[in-house]
Amino acid sequence: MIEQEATRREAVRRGLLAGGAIASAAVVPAAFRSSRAFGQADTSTASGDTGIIEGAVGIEQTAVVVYRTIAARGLLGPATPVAELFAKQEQEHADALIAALKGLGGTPPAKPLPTDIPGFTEVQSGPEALAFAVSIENQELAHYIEGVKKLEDPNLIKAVAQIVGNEGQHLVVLRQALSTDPMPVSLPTGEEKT
Amino acid sequence: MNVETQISRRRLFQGLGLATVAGAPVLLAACGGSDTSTSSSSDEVSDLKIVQSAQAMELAMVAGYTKVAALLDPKSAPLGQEILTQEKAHATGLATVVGDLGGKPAAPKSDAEYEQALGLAGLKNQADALKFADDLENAAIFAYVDAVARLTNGDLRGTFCSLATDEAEHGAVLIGLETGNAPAKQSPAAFVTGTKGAFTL
Repeated sequence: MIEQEATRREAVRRGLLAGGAIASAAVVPAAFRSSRAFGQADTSTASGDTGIIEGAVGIEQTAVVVYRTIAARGLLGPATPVAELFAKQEQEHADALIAALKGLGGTPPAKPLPTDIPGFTEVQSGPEALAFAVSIENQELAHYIEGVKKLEDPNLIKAVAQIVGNEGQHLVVLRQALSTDPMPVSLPTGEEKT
Repeated sequence: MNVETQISRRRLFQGLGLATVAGAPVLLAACGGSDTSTSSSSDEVSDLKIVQSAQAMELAMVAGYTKVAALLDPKSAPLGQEILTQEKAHATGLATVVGDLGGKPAAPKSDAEYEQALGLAGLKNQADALKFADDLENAAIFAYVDAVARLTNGDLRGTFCSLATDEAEHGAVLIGLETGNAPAKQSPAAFVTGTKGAFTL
């Protein structure tokens, strides 16, 4: 029994180490790492649930700006309503998280401007817009999957689980528009490239 | 498929680094739980029970999609097969984790038992199959969302959110097959809750 317990503890130790490796790898696309939008998440001085939700608000606000801009520029042509729909849903995520953040005593980060989002001004075509949106969705997913590991409030945990499902739905629609596999992995973490 | 399965198992295992003990069974309405064994802390036992139940649920999903995939037309069949492959990866990954943590994974029920529990005999055509699969995904999403906040292990919560995301992706693909890829129906609401169904974790 003691030997079995020692084996389990070793498995736990190895698992924790591996988990740490995943945490460092589960990042946003390289082009975005230094963005102001992501900086909102990364430079937060808030800790615990407040910091995680503050970061999530920043990312959701970035997604709203991206979809609204894509729609306003007509980059998706007849599929513009898709960008409008996703902007609306990302805004719903942001609104709910802002309410939660204020409840925790935090302050919502400022909304980014389109020009604050690195690489976004270079997006000129429908396929580029779709690919950029996929990257944003994966960034959101990565933040939530990592964040939910540390969240303590059960209601926030449940909310995150409901939001990631919606981001997954967005990814399916975007990938189908790009004619790529709509569900490329069985365990999405946001690390996916497309 | 092998690579996918291996990656899934690795990630599941890496994501489950904290749980250390075995647990007791949790009965599932449709698919059954797993065996009993000894335990230490109640939190850890609770987590393992949930994981074991999730593994049994995924086995039922595999049984369901095996039937569904057989009813899809040639155009839709590849996506059905892909979903089936991913559900198998979930079941395999969760079983591996349960075993690694000292629990006993649930064994698959017989085809007849799944057919009875899930009502598979009533599926006659593609429309039946897609509706059934959509219900199955919604039940799984509900189960994962409902369970995730009860998990005491943070890494497990991350894994369950990934699983809920994948089931939501499957749902969007299924609705796409039914509607000819209509985004407003594939992504109908900002918060994906699923629907209370056959599974309880």
